[in-house]
Amino acid sequence: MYLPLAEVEISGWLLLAIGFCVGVLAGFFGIGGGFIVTPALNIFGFPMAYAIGTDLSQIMGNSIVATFKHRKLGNVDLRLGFFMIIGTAIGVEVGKEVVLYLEEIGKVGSVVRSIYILLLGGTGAYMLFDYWKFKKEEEAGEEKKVVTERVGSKLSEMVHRINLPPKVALPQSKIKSISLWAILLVGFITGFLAGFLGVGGGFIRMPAMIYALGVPTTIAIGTDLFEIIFSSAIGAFLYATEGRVEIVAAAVMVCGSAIGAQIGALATSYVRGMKIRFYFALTILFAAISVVMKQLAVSLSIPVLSTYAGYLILSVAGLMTLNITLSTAKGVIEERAVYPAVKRRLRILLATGGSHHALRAIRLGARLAKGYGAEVTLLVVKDPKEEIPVAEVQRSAGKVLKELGVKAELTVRHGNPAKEILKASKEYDLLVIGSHGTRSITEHLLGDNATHIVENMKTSTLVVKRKAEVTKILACVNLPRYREAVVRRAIELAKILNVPLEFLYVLPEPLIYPIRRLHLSSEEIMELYPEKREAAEEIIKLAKSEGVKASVKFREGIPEEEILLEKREIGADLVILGDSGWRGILGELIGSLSGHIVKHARVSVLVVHRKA
Amino acid sequence: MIGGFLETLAEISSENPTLYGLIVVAIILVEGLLLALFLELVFRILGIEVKEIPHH
Repeated sequence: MYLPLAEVEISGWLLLAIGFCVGVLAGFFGIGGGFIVTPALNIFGFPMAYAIGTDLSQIMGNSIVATFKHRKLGNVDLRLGFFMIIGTAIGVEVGKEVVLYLEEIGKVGSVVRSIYILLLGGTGAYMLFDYWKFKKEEEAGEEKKVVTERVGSKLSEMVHRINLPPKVALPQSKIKSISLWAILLVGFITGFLAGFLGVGGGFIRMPAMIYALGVPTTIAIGTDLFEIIFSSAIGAFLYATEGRVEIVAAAVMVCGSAIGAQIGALATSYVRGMKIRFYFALTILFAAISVVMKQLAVSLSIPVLSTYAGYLILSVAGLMTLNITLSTAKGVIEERAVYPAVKRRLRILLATGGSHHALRAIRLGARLAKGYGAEVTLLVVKDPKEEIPVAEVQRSAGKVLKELGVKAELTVRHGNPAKEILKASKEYDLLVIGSHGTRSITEHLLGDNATHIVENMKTSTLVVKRKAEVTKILACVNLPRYREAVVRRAIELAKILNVPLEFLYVLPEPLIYPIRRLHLSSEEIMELYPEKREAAEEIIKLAKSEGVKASVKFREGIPEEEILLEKREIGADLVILGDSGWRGILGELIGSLSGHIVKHARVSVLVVHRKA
Repeated sequence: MIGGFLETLAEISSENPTLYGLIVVAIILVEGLLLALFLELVFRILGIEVKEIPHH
C-alpha cells in the first residue's frame, strides 16, 4: 500500500507482522515497544519523524487492548497508575527542558545515548543477576522453592519505610502503606528519564515499580500499560498535528498488535513473575547492544552498523515473540490435555497460622491443587496478639508443598486471622483452612475462627480437621440452587482423591409427614418420589462417566442431625454441602446449616459457595 | 475508495493539523476499544479464558 504522507510503499502484511510482534512483547512485558517499532519502520523506508509518530499512535492502540486484557486479569492498579501519571508528567517536562539545555551547549546526542546505554544495560544486567540469584536459591532447595516470585527488594523496603505523610494504601498491589511522595518521586524519575531519552519509558517504569515500589511483576506490567495509553495519546496527537502520523499504517499495526497483546497478556498466566523478568532483562540487554551499535555507527562513521542495529533488535523481538507465543500455546494445550473439564485454572488459597491442624489443611489442599492443576497461594496470617514465627511456618508449609510437588506463591498478612483470611479469599475459588476438631467451652459458645469464616465466607471453603487423608466423601444435595455445584465439586474431589462418594438427600420432616417421622427407608422415599429417584440415577450416571463410584441415599428428618448421623454411619471423613447461611446480623443470630456442620462434625467439611 | 480516504486525510493533515491530530487519536481509541472487545469475544468462543492471577 502507498502511504501519501510519508510517501512510502509498504506491504500491509509486513505492518501486521510488526504489530503482532510488538503486541506480544507489550502484553507480556508492559512496554510500549517504541524501541522496536521505530527502527523497524525506519528500516522499511519511513522517515524517522513519521516512524516515531506512527509508532506512538500504534502504541496507544496497542496499550488500550493490552490494558483491557490486563484489567480483566486484575493486573491494573488504577490508584497507583493515576499517582504515577502525575509524577511522570512533571518528570517528562523537566527531562525535556534538560535536553533542550544540552542541545544549546551541543552535547545532547552523546549524553542521551550514553545514559540510554547505561540505563538499558544496567537494568538488564541487574534483572538478570536477580534472576540468577533466585535460581541459585531455588536449586539450593531452600524453602523459597515453593515461591514462584520474590516481591520487593531492599530498595522497596526502604521506600516503604519513608514516613512522609500523606500515606496511601495500594490494596491491588498488596502495599499496605506507602508515602504518596515516594510514588510521585518514582513517577518523576521515570518520567524525567523518559522525557530526557525521548522514549515512552515503559522499560524504565516497569522495573522501577517492581524494585523501588515493591509492586508484583504482573501488576507493574498492567499499570505501566495503563500509563502508556495517556503518554502515547499525547505523543500521537502532537506528532499528528505536525502531519507525522500515517494513520492507516498505525491502524493496520494496531490490528496485529491487538492479537499479539492478547497472547502476550495471556502468556503472563503461564510464565510466572521471575521468568518474565528474565526475558525482559534479555530483551533490554540486546536493546542496549543495538544502541551501542548505533553510537558506534555515528562516532566511527560506519552507517551500515546502524542498519545492523535495527536488524538485531528486530531479530531479538521476533525470537522473543516466537518464544512467548509457543509458551502460551504449550500452556493452553497442556492445560487442556490434563484438565479438560476445567476451562481455567482454579485458584486455591491455603491459609495458615502455623499450627499442626493448619499443616494438615495444607497437605489436603495441596493434594487437591495438584489434582486440579490449580494456582496455589500460601497465606500466612500473623496475629499481632500471638507470637508466630513466620519463617518457621513458611518452612514447614514449604516442606509439605515440596513433598507433594506443588508450587505456591507466598503472602503474609497481619491482623485478625479470620478477618484477613476472609478478605484475602475473595480472589480465590477455594479456601482451605485448618481447625482442630475438638472444642473448648468458649469456642462451643462463641464459635471459632473456622465457623466464623464459613458463616461469612466469600468463596468455597474447605475446613480440614483431624486428618488430611480422605477415604469416603459424603455430599449433601439438599439445597436445589447448590445441587449442581455440590455434585460437580464432589465428583471432582472423589476423582482426585480416588475415593467412593455418597450423595445424601435429606427430606425435612414436614414435607413427608407434618406431625411425626415415618421412618421411611431410602428405597421407600425413592418409591414415594419417582422424580427424586430419576434425579438420583442421573447423578450416579454422571459420577460413573467420570469414573467415580457413587451412590445416593435419602433420609428424612432434620438436615443438621441427619447429615451428622449419616456421616457417622458410613464413616465419611469429608462432608460437602452448599452454603445455606444467612448473612450479616441475621446470620449471626440464627446460624446456618453449613456453620452447624462445620461446628459439630469432627471431620473435614467443604462448603460450596454460591459463586461456584 | 481507500485511496480517496487516504487523500482526504492527507488534505486534512495539511489544512487543519489539530483536526487531524484529534482524528488520529479518536480513530486509534475507537479501534483499540473495539478490537479489545472483539478479541475478548473470540478468545471466549475459543474457550481460552484468561486467569486472574493472585499477586503476592
